[in-house]
Amino acid sequence: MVLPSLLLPGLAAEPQPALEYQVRAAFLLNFTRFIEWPPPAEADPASSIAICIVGDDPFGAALDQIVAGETLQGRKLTVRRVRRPVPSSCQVAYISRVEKGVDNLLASIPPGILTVSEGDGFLRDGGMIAFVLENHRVRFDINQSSAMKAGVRINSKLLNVARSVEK
Amino acid sequence: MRRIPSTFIVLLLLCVTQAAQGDPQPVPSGPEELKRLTLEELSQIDVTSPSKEPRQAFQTPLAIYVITSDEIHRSGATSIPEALRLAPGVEVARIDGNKWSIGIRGFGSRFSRGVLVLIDGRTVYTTLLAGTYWEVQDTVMEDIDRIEIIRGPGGTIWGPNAVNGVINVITKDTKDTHGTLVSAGGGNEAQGFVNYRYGGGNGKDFDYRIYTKSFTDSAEVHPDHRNFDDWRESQAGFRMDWNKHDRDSFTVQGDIYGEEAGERVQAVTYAPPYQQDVDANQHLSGGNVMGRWKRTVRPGNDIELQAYYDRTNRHEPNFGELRDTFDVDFIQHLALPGRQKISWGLGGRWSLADDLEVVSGLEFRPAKRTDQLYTAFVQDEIGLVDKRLTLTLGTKLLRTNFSGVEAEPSVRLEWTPRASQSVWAAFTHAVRTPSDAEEDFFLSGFVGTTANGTPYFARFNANSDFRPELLNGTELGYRHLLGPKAYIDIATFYNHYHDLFDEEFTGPTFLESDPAPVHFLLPAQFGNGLLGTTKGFEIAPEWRPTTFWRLRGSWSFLNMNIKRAPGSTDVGSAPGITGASPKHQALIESAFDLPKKVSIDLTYRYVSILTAPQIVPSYSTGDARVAWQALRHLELSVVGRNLFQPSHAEFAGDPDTIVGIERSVYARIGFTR
Repeated sequence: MVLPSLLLPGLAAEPQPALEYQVRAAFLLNFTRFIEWPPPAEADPASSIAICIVGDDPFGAALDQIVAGETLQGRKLTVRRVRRPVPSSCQVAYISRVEKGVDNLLASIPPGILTVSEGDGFLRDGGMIAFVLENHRVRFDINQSSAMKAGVRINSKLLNVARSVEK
Repeated sequence: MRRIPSTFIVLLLLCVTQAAQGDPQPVPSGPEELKRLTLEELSQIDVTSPSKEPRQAFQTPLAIYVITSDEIHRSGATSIPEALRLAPGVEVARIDGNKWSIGIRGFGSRFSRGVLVLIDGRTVYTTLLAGTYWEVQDTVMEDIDRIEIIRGPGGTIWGPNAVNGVINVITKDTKDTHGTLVSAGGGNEAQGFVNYRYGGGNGKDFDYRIYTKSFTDSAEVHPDHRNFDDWRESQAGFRMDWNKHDRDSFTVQGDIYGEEAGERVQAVTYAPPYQQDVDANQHLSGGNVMGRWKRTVRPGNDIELQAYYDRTNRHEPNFGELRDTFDVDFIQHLALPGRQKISWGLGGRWSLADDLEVVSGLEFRPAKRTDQLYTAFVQDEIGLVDKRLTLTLGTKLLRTNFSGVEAEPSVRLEWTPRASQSVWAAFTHAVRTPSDAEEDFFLSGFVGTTANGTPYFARFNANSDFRPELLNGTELGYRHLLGPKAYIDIATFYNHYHDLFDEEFTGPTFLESDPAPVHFLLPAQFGNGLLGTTKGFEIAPEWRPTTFWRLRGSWSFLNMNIKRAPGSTDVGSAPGITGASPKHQALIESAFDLPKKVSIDLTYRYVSILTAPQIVPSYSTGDARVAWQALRHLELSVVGRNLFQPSHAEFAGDPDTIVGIERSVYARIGFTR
């Protein structure tokens, strides 16, 4: 029998921006307010804070709309779409769920970047924040030790709202 | 309660806790409003879209329904057949404690010949009787990721016997089942059950899980008090997944089970007592092991190779079989320029059967056989107009030891005029291949004794010329997202069948001396003497009045017109086929999320009358489940099923006396960590 679930036609059709991703986008914006990056990123007050989407973009226009016009401590927030390797000019790297070899990718990301993705395995691969769907709601888990290793400090307010925190 | 401005209705943002405190604050919609929400408020937004998987189901030119793991959990179903009641167009009728008739768009019977069933890509449809032994298809219900149900022919992709539909049970990836799960409970019908699963991994490229489960079910309601259908099962299994270097993934999985399922059979013998009803246990056991390798050659080009071995061992009071099946499949998906996506594949299956004769009235000859299946298929999905119009063309070619080469072509068209609407149409040809039950099977029935005491039998003799059953199907479907709160899926079909299975007399009664003793015999045979049409529709709406209340429903209508083909000597099988499927089925499910982590699920079901093989009156009944997430790792629930009456019948008796399906209640405790 031929592996049926993979064969449904139309699966690769253009997704509509879903509410789920609008909410994730709003979370991402919120995250930036509860993160302290290591000094180099904060050195140049004129530079922008970049949320980088690595690989396939699940947000559509949702993230751009949420981030548009936002600032953080006087610095402009921007959305960038990047490919591997992740440039050190990113402050947040959102790694698409469909990205392959996430563990290798994470190992190659320079320190000082908050890494976010979705699903159970991401924190085990060394990621910092992983979105999960629980009871139809977007929640997130945090791996604090990965963040500390990379010099990214997560405010306790964010830790409190997380579904679980690995220390 | 303040009236919610219509612009805010665009998003379902009322959070449960706020509503429960009587302090409804319509949360604003759109990016400007969303970004002003606090983290806590964001955590409370219900983001599941009404169609559950809109990207998958919405733009698929098939009548597909996906039962999610959440839906299964909240239904309280403790078996795969019971979970299938959630899907539109599927006729689930419980025959007794451990047997079901499951049809799709008609042709329901204990062995629904035109419904192909797979678990993780392993075909569990058997060529012994052309059907599925539902009582041995099981896994830990909590580990099921989803059940995809395709109504209508799916022969091009899923291969032979996907004539009326496909049921595709898919378990979770081992990445998603880390930790311990223990669930246990019991009640009056599901007397006791316990499930245990443990999952883990090396944190990098390897994940696994192991499970074991056991249950014991009581008999249903028997007017003659012969409570034969009690049921006990134990099963264990494992799954391992490796992902290597971005390119390759390997999966190995397997299961092993043993069970005792009580049944009543008519044991027919040419020697006295000729016929007796035997109440005894079926002893059923088996196992399987499967390996799968996937490689992404480059984006848009992947190959997959799968092989499995499956053993089933059944020992019934009137018959036994040991069957070993080996199966290998290869498939490639290839994106080509010009918005084309090609899929092609090859497959082979060898199924070695060894049948055990227990009574002389039920015999497979030859007793040892090897059933073979070879398939090849190709399908091309072509984006025609700016992703708004997609044409899918394909065919399968197959060859079995029972018949020559058959083709199963299909043409499907998907039109998405707007992001919220889609229309699809399909024209398909599908084949139900012959099975051992037609080509090697001798089944005798005892008619009576003549005045001088000579026994009189009728016997269906094997028909080695049995031909495939054929279907030409036409389908038309429409889906509409009515804003984010409501969704409707409508599918219609018109199927034309020919060469359908029937039972035919082949000659006059004569005196037969072998097998001894001398008896009168009315010879008959299984034939291809029926043809006809089915038409109908399924309407499946879903509505979310608030974030904490979800309503789903379906109405399935079926009109079957099956008749004797010219020249057929059918004994009168047609009414037995059309009468065994309900004309109307309706389902309403309501899911409430209440404060304090309490949820309430209510289900109403209606099934119209069955007129054959026995009259089964129409019935309405309901299920209810109340669950409380007492601690983060602990859920307590009480489930009531078939609550409207002490018992009700769902299908004709197998054999004779109709069994009542009992009102039942069980309590469950679930621990996950």
